This record gives sequence, structure tokens and C-alpha cells, in this order.
Amino acid sequence: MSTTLTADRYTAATASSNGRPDGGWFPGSRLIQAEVLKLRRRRGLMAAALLLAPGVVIAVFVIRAILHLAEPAHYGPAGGIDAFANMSFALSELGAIVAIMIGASAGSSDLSAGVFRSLVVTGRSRWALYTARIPAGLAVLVPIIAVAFALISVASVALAGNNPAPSIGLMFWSGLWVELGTVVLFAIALGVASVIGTRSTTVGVLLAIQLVLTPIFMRTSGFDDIRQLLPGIVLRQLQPAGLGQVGPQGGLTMTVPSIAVLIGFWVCVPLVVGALRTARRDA
Amino acid sequence: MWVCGRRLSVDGMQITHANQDHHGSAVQTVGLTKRFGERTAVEDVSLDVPCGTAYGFLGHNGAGKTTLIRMLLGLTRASSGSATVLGLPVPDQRARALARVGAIVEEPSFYAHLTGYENLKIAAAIRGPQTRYRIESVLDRVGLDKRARDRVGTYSLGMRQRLGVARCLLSDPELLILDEPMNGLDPAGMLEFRSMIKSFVDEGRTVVLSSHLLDEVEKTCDAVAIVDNGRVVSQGSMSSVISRAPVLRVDCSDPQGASAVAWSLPVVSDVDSSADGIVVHLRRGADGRLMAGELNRRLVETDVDVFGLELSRPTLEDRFLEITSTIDANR
Repeated sequence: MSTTLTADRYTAATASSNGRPDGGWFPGSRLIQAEVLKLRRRRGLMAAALLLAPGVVIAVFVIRAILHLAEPAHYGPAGGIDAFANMSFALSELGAIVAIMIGASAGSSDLSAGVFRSLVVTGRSRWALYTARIPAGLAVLVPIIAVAFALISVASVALAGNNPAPSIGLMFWSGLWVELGTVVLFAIALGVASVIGTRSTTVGVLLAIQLVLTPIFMRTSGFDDIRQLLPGIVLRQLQPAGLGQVGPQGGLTMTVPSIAVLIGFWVCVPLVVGALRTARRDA
Repeated sequence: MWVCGRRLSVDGMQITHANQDHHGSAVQTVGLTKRFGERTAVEDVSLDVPCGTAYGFLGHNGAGKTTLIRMLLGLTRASSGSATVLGLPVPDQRARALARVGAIVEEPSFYAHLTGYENLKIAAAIRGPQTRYRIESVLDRVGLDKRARDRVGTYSLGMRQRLGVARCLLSDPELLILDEPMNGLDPAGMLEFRSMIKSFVDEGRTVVLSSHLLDEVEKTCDAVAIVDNGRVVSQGSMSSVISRAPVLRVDCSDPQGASAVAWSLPVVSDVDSSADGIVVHLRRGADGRLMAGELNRRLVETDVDVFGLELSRPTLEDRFLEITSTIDANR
């Protein structure tokens, strides 16, 4: 066993100061790719994400199509605008779960694997190590949700039968709404996981807020100050009108600037707090 | 290979690095101290680790070795004192210093769901752009080339230790800092690790390793610092730290006669007699083997039957226990 480098590679290595880390807080493409690799290779996480998003969409439309074929008098066409609205709402909820899982993994994997210290001793900026997680997580999350939403759109149009099909404009804005919701939840999960340091606690807490607390507050009157702070309720305010009254509406009417401020808050604050904790955490 | 800050290419051409004037010291500390509340983990440590050596931090569990290493690597801030690594002050110029350092602190950890190769790919992504070209060669160097595509979760402890060393080597470091690298290894693994460390030193790198395995440190290191309760109580080359007078134990038929013969040797400091034989204490620096042969010859010439002759070589363990028990007695 001996280590040899060709003269060209040796010269190149010397020129780069023997593996001096790329400086500054900007992570660079290689670090982001490394983070994508870490997430993508989590087979359980990827399986769960694909099952919950595209998997459920496929299953629902297949079942509806089979029912329509078996008893057309009793079961209407599988597609159409109503099916599109219901599935878009469902994807917004399922996508939130996927986003929380991916965000929590991205935020805590280095700590839970015990690898954080070995990353820090390279001298690489902790800010770079942290910020790489953001585009990497989005690179995994956004395509999964996009594929699921594309399946909803195609199935809703192709299987509409006599029902009115969703318009292209409605599909576009609904897709943006769904993606926005998942991005916000991803940012929250990433920040919280970076602070707490464990995936399971992060997922548990955020799922409790998203799936239990938020629906409760949506269906109760009063507590407006609390309700308008919950990200799930704020995002519902942006639901495209063409989707109709699908799901609880939260009973709030908020202005666009206030919605924008709250969404900005929920994206930026957890990310910044997570970054600060990562920068100061004892390795 | 490295020659104390100056790198020689494989064909012998000399390539000089910038900022390499660190006066032959890979690590220097002056009065380094770390307190955690009321507890002092490291106290007033002044070290000088020469370039191109294998240097051992030796001490009991909890003596402060890991804390010292963590301060050198900038993982924790010193309460007072200063440290330089490869001539660069830490933590002020930590990033520049650590670019030329490979380190393992406590047990090396990896992403268990990734292969060995992928773990190194991630480590290479953090280092400079050329580092990825070294992945195959460092895996070959540590003998993991055939298991590189297996998940780290299937690796044994020894394999994970070797992968940790491979990760250190990615940046072709001048200095390797290894915290308890042989913990949990079997004898074959320790032997392999020892030869690996020697090969690093032969290449001109500096290796600093901490351990409580006295025998392994003695076999591996050229110099050592003994750490006890956060303080460096002895440091220097292995021979100077161990420096202790040789002792000859002789089982013989005539202890009294043998004692008289022993006193005739030029380097004897003391002779103890018992019913079975004598114990001859030689002066510090005496050649024990030479004196053993000379004593045996003189005893035979004076018709003293010699049943057994043993030269006690001083060991690091003897010295370590001597120092730490003296400190304990004085507390």
C-alpha cells in the first residue's frame, strides 16, 4: 500500500494549499452535492417521502378510476376540478409531513451521526456547513412535491370525463401554493432540528403542531392572535380561490402584506436561529 | 513527502510552502489552561512538539489529554495561554492551520448509511477542490480499497479507525492529531496502526497521538508528554523520559561473593543481597547489556555458580507509575 500522486495531481494539490477548505460562509456546489447525497441515500426517508406524496396520489386516482369503471352510475369520473381541489389540499398536508421529515433530517444528521466534530476540525466555516443544508434539502424536497402535483394535474385533466377540468392558471397557482407550504415547513424543521439536534423530537413536535394543534385552532373561534401565528393557518390564507372551500379555512381574513411578513418570519427566524446554534455549538 | 514544512515531490524535487517558518515545531503551547467552572481540566501546559516525530500524550482517563487536543484544534477555547499549530496561532488562524492538519478526536464517526467511499467524498467536498482525487489512494493506503463500497454500518471498529485515518489523510496533512486511535483494537490491529504511524513519520509528517496504552506509546512514539490531572509532569524524548538506571538480577550460589564481584564493576551504584542472589543497581546511563556480560564473566571466573541473570530494562510504564505515584504521594 503506498500513496502516490501523479506529478500533475501533485502540483494541483499543492496549488490548492493541500486541501485548504474553500473559504467563507458560501458552501459551494460540492458541499451542497454532498448534503444531497446524505439525504438521498437515506432509503427509509426517501421511501416515506415518495410513498406519502406521489404514492398516495397514484393510489387515490387509481382507486377512483377503478370505482368509476366498476360502477359509473354510483362513482363519477376520477378526475375533474373537484378531485383536483381535494387532492391539492391533501398534498398540501402530506407535503408538509414530507417537508418536516426532510428538514429534520437535513438539520440533525451531522449531529446524530456524531460527524459534526469531524466536519468542524477541517477548519471549514460552520456557516458554510449549515447553509449547504438549505439548497440541498430543497433539491430533494421540491422535485418530489412537484412530481406529485404534476400527477394530480395530469390525472385531474385526463380522467375528468364529463366533469369540468382545472384550468392551467389554477393548476399553476395551486402548484405554487403547495410548494410554498412545503418550503416553509422545511425551513422551520431545518432550523428546529439544528437547534435541538435530534430528528425524532423535531418531527414529533412539528407534526403535533401541524396535524393536531393547527386543525384545532382552525375549527375554533377566538384566539385570533394565536391562530394567525400558526404557519399552517397563515398558508391557508394563500389557498387559490379556484380550489373552493376545501378543508377548514381558519376563519381568518388577513391582508397580503401581513401574510408575507408572517411567512418571511417563519422562513427566516428558524433558519437564523439554527445557524447561530450551529456556529456556537460545542463540537 | 514532508520535511518539516517543506514538501518534497515523489521524484525528489523540492517544493517550498509559504509560511513554513515554525522553527521546527509542529505544535507549541505556552501556559495553556482550560477551566470548566471550578474544575481545571488543563493547567499551565507548555509543550513543544518537534516536526517529523511521533509524539505521545500519555495519561490516565480524565487526565486532560482530549481537552488539550480539543484546544489545539479550536474545538474549545482556552481559558488562558496560547497555542500555535504549524506556526499559526489557534484559534485566531484556525482555518489556515487546520487545512494542513488531519485529526481524529475520540472515536471517528461516520454516516452509517453511506459507504466508506461516500463518507470520504463528503469529507473531500469540505476540503479543497483537488482533495477528491486522493480518495482512492488513501483508501488503498489504509487497506480499505476492497471494502470502500460497503456501508460503514457494516464495518468493524478497526475498519472505522482506518477509515478515520483515511479521512485525515485526504488533505495530505503535515500534522496528524489522533486521540486514542488504538482503543478497542486487537493486537493485530494495533500492530498495523503502529506501522502506519511509523510510515507517516518516515514521510516527514508529524503525528501527535494521545493514549493511555503505555506499551503502545513506548513502541510507537519518539517523544512523549506525560499528563496527570491536567498538568504535563514530564516531557521529552522517549529515552530522556524513561531514563532510569538499569538493574541486574542474579540468582547465584554465593550471594556474598557475588556482591563483592559486583562492587568491582565500574558503574555500580548499589548492590542488594538476599538468600538467593543479588540485585545490582547500575548508574544512570550505564550500558546494561555490557555490564550483564561483564558481571557474568567475572562471576564465572570466581567460581560463583550463576543460575539466572536478568537485565531489567526501564519501561515507560515504570516511569509513568513512578511519576504519578510520586505526585499522588505528595498531594
